[in-house]
Amino acid sequence: MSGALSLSVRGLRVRIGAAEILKGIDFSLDEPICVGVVGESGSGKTMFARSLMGLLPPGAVPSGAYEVGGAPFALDAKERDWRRVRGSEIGLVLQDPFTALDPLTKCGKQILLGAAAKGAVAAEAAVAAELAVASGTARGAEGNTPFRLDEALAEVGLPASVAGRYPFELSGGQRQRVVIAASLATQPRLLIADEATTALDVVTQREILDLLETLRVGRGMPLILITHDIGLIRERTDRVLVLKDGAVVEAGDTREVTTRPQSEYTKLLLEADRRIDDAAGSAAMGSDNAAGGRMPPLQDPVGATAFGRPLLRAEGLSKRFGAITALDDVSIEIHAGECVGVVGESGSGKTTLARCIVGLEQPDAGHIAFHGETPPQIVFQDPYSSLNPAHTVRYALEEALRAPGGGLPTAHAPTDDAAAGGWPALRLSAGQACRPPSAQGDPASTEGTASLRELLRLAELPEELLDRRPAKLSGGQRQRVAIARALATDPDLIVCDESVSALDVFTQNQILATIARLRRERGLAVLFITHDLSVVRALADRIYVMHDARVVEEGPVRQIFEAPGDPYTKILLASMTHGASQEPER
Amino acid sequence: MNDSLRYILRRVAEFVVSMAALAFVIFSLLYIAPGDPARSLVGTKHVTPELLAQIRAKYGLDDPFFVQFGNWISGALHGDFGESIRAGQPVLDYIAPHAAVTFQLVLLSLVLSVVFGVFFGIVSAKGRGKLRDSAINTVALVGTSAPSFAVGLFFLYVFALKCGWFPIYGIGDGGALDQLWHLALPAIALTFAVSALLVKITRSAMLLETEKDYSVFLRARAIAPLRITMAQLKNASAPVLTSTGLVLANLFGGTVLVESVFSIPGLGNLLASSVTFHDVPVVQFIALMLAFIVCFASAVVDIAVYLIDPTSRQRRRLYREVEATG
Repeated sequence: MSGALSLSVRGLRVRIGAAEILKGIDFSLDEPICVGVVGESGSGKTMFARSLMGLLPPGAVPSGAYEVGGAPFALDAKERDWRRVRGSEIGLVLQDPFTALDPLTKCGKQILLGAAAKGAVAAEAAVAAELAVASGTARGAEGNTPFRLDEALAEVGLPASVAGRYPFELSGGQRQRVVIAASLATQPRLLIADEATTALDVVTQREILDLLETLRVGRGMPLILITHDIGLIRERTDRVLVLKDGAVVEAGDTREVTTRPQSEYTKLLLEADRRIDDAAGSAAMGSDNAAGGRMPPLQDPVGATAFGRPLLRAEGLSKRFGAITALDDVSIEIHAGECVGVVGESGSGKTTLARCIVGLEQPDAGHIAFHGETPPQIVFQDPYSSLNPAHTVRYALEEALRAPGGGLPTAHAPTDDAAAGGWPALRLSAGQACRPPSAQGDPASTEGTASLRELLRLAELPEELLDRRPAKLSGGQRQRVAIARALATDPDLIVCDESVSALDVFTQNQILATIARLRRERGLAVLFITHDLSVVRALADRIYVMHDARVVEEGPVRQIFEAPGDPYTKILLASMTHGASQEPER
Repeated sequence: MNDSLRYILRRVAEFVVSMAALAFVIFSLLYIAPGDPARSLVGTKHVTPELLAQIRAKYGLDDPFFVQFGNWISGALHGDFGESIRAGQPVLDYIAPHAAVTFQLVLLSLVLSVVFGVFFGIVSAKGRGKLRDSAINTVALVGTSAPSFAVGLFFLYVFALKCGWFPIYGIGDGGALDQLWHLALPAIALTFAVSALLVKITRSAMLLETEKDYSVFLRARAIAPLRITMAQLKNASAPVLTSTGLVLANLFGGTVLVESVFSIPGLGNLLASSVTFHDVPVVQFIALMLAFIVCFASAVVDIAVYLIDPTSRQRRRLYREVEATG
């Protein structure tokens, strides 16, 4: 195995047009340790990783002094020259295992391509192996080639049969393992993992991180871990680089930085992360209000009894897709004004449940009784694809307001605002809430504009964003637009399907605070679907735990976290990435 | 695999339904078109009402609309498309030599269009923003906007008349190579007119694939550029194949003008003169045949696109993914 790659860059800058994305970063690495690069989205951490491999987007111009393996290398080299560095020197694992693999090529061939590029197998051998893959034997090329497909798969903990599968036939965790195997096939001497576990659920996340660590130690291969999750940095890295707005705000030994942060920004990151620790530290928890000084108290201290009439009752829901059971006799109840969390791993059926409740999917059996005035609305996971890129925010919201039942009553719109202290309650009768669409008329009318303003206010969106298209909005802003759109019909219940999973911790906290405020002020009931236990802990009153299409446990948040009854719930709690028990000091 | 079979059967059923609808439309349009076929049949002979009535009876022209339609369809299903009014021969025999020429012309143009269209589309995408990108786009734009007969005349003047590289008209004396040589210039003129669509579609589909994560990941592993391009092309094949179906339809439309420019005795020329002559059975047959080819090509393309995508081959497993990503 080739030894650790030494790599250094001084004064790394990247410009796109007039904007400077990276502002002079110094970085060096020459031993097989794990270095973390942490920052919120937009801090330039992905650009940093990409510039080390010449994979910047078109139009981005890098500069700086770069050395790979002791020899200088031009950061603005041609594509052809970069191929010397890529693969054989530096390997890359991308964030999203659902898009990083070619959807039309079997996994075995994708791994072999890298080996062939490296010359470990001849191109013809790769083709021969491809035939073996196609016939399902997956033995790799015979004889003289040092590269064996089954060994490559075994190294990342996958059975040899995966070689004959297409990516879509694998789970997220399996795909990420294929991605890692494909990266390793080129025999890199350094691996960069760019948010490699962000899109995965906690259990899988942990497995992949363990795998990366094993590979790092086993191969003596340095690892650069790029993440927004400082908890992960604390737990997994030896050194850390904290990035903000394209500049290093703090760098050094991980323990040193996380226990005695020097910069305000690092302190902020660590503080935001405490919410997660608090959520995980179950029994030891004294009060919910310990959840981070800068955060508003997320969970209202109301018991389940405080909630009114049942708003939605679903009984015995079952749904099958072909041979797969997505829901198996699932019953769920939501009271008016209540926040109910549904947690489970990916594939547990929670999204199908959400889709059934908002009517996007018809259950095969069971029935749903809804007692609200306007149908439930949904906020999807991915703020990047749930908005039409061609339409401005104004258009998207006006469209929602014009929909049947759309239109917020503005007669009682408050003149005092947040500065005055409270937000007046805005619950209204059905007659007021559901005006006929004809009355909506011209969206430019003062009434329409007032409704629009009200939506912006509720979702805490600045008015100057109205005429922007989604491409010009941040992830958090897009998700706020999606929330505003869901509120346009003045619903009694909104369903949030992993609505904050794609966002960084900062933004997550802000969106969660908005949702908590909407609940307080509008008596809105929320069904929150997530794989992230810290999110439900912060937000929900009651939790349903789903596993293999069934509800395995149900109860108030505190009960589930402090005294889980079902063995699966216990596993789920134990696998939260940063358990408080692992952090004995402070 | 079961699902693929079901999809193919459904697509074939759609094909049958659209053919039936098209047959009806073609028949009724010609039925209501002005002009009396009986009169055309008489030709220059002295017209008497008796003669006309006799002819009308022979060709069933006085039967009710649906009876005529029924007769035509049942004949067509047995391979009998009636007799050409002009030639007095069975339509199939009369058309066969013309059709053979046009099919060769269209096939040649199709191959050229796909090869050049996809090739320049890829070159253009790979060199986005560079000189070759804008050059290809400009030429493609000229090709689309210039009428094919004008391009044909221009080619004829430059390459046949001035340079003398190609024959000026006709399809030659029967030798296969000679015929290919005669068809080359008209085929290039046709290709020039229709392949712009393929260039544009290939370019934008390839650009879309270039931006995807898997392309970045392929580059990150130093995979050979040609291999990357092939993987991207495979992923971009759905829009490219679909537009190839459209190109085929455009090619048949284009033959009408190009054949008359190059004096090629093909279907296009025959269709034009048969319309003038009110040779209804011939017009009906040509229209129906073109409709069949276009519908058939579109069905084949749809099935090919379906089969290329492994997710659609095992649609059921996709639900697992939907659940997993959600």
